[in-house]
Amino acid sequence: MRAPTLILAVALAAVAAVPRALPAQATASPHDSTWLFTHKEQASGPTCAMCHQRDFCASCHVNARNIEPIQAIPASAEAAAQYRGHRWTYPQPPTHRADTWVATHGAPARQTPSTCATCHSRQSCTTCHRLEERLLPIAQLPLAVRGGPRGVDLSGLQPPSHIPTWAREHRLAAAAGADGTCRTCHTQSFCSTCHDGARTATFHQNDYVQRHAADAFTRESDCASCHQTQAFCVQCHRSVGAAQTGGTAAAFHDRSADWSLTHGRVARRSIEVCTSCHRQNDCLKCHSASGFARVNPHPAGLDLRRMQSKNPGTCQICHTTGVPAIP
Amino acid sequence: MKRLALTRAAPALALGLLAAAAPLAAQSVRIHSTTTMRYVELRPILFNADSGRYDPQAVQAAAPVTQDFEVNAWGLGVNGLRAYGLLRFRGSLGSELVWPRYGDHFDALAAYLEYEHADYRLRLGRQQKASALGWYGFDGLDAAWRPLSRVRVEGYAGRGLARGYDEPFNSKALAALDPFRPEKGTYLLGATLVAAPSATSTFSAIYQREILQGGAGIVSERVAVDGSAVLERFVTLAASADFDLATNEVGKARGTATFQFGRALMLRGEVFRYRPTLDLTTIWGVFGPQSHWGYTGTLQITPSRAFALWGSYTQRQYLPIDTVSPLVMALPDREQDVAAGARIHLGPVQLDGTYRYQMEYGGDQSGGDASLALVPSRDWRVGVKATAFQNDGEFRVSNGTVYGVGFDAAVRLADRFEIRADAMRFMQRKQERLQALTGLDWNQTRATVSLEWTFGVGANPDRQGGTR
Repeated sequence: MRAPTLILAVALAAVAAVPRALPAQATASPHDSTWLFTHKEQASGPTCAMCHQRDFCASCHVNARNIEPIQAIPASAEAAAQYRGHRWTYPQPPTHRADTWVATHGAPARQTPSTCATCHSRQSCTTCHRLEERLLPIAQLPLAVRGGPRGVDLSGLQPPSHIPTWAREHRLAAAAGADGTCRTCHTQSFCSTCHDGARTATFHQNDYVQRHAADAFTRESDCASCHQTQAFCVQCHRSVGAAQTGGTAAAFHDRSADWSLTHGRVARRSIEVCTSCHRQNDCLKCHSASGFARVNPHPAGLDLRRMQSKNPGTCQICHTTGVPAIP
Repeated sequence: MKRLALTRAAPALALGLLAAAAPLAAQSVRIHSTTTMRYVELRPILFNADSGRYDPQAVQAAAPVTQDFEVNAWGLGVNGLRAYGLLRFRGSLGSELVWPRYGDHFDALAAYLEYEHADYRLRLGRQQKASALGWYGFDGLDAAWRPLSRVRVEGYAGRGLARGYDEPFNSKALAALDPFRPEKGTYLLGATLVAAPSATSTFSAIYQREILQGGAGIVSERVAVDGSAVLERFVTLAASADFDLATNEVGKARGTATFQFGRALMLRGEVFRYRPTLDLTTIWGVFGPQSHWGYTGTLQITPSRAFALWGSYTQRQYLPIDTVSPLVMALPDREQDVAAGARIHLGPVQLDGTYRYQMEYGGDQSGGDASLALVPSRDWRVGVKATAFQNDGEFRVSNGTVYGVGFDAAVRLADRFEIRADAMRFMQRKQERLQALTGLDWNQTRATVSLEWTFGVGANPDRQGGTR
């Protein structure tokens, strides 16, 4: 199969073509690489003002207005214009490099939100905590304003658990903590993008209209989690003519002329696929105690007695003249 | 809009009034609006009884439009009280082909009043219950009590909604699709126990029952348990299983072990079992649907923030099947699925690529997706994307090869206003299965434009203390 190979080759070529040299980042030269993390202790005298204007400091520190040493440095309209909207690359403090930082940063944030405000605007937090401006550590952070320091840009940041296949795998984690963990960052509208009758097809691969059959047969995902089978699958299949009621429609069944006789194994293995085109009365034409063929669909070992005790009405769909005694 | 039946109109009206009145009385309201417009081309086929063949029809286009409003209102005069609504409006623009469900112009996915206390929480109205049993909606009361800081006991009951449909179980729209659907609606009731023995572990158990109104029978009755725990900081274990009390069968089960070695290496193993959940009100359950089991291994390597590589292998094993008919077709008892992907992030340039190969039961499919995007800031993004895949399957309409190219773009015009768009043109080649259709232009275009807008003031009470 050549097409995917071609795609990968093109992709790799595109990567190779990307310039490796990134735009030069401003550094605190002549200070060394640790300067950014240690300059607080030394930035209390007039030394800084020898080279820097207040606007230089304020282009990084989103809380510059609250930092006395910064306010002590004279401002400059020229510097303000120079640094207005400048995009610095913020260095990552050692504490933030721990694997557990994403999960554990709440406690230090609650203790000293002013420390966070050195680099983070309120928008940094609401990138993930989208609707939690109420929380005090977040509410205390300054808002980024147009032309001011942008603060650390956390867009795209995800918890380590959110690997690329997470959309397919989140079920277990969501079941264990849906009402707690997930809603730290997500509201129900996020879930309802896919669940509850999908709004968009973001969950699926490109051209899933053509691709979905294999997943449906193998149950790669539980379609019913988001789609009401009869309403969604059947309605679309009928609209485009891919579902026929009443005929054998061999074209849809591997062009197998004896499909009606041999479909049993497929039906038991992937019965949800059958229901994406067929209604119950299609099956009842043969699998009914009152039909002409009267083919018994009950496999050995099925607890029919229990099912009957739970809902006797279902038995009467096929056994219209009376339900026989179950041995 | 189509006419609403009284049984549907009354609760819809009540919920609408609730949703409308609560925000008006609230001191703080936040509304999140999402408008999604899609364009989908499809070429219908029509069975010709005279020739016994399928004749292609002209290409049709569906243009479904979805408008979601998420309303969150609080400050209603009682501390801890809020109103929440998630309302969805649908419509179709100038098209003969109507995308599924877009003939139904309104749904309240959620609309409830919530009272939150340090020890308990009450919710009244339309709500969704997400659990190890799946995603169920109901109109009723949910009461949660926290007797201990790490324990929650919850009970819920109300009128049941059809899964994935947000209408009563006996909705006329569903009855039109299936004449054997029960005329009676359902009640949904259940109970949950959630415990967090430690800061890194959770456990929950749930019992849920759907019964037909009037005591005519049970639709489903299931229990499920699930839990997860972090061991030694780098190992996370999680497991989930459900049991169908109505049929005496184990349903879905899943267990995973995830090993996270720093940020550079993640290894995950998963064992799962699948058995469909079928309502007792249909005949499908008495056909004895067969379960299958399988396993997945996933490896992700992230040597730097700029580069991530992952791969996975899944195998599903289907059990031998006995059928009443001696005339059976040979089927593979195994399905294999290999997938791999990479993400490269060089400054503002982001490259993503995925490849997936499925084989054996369900048909063979091989294909990949790639995208190259320029993301200079969180304010805007523009990229191109491509796809290519081949189908060689059984039971389906056609084999073939599909290529696709397109673009996507996103721009944040203001802090709370964002527009996204994407479009792809799919070019289909080698439609081999239905010879009668060979040579036709099966190319299709699909596009999406969405606008997200959040407006309102104040803070949000979505998250409060406790182990919720």
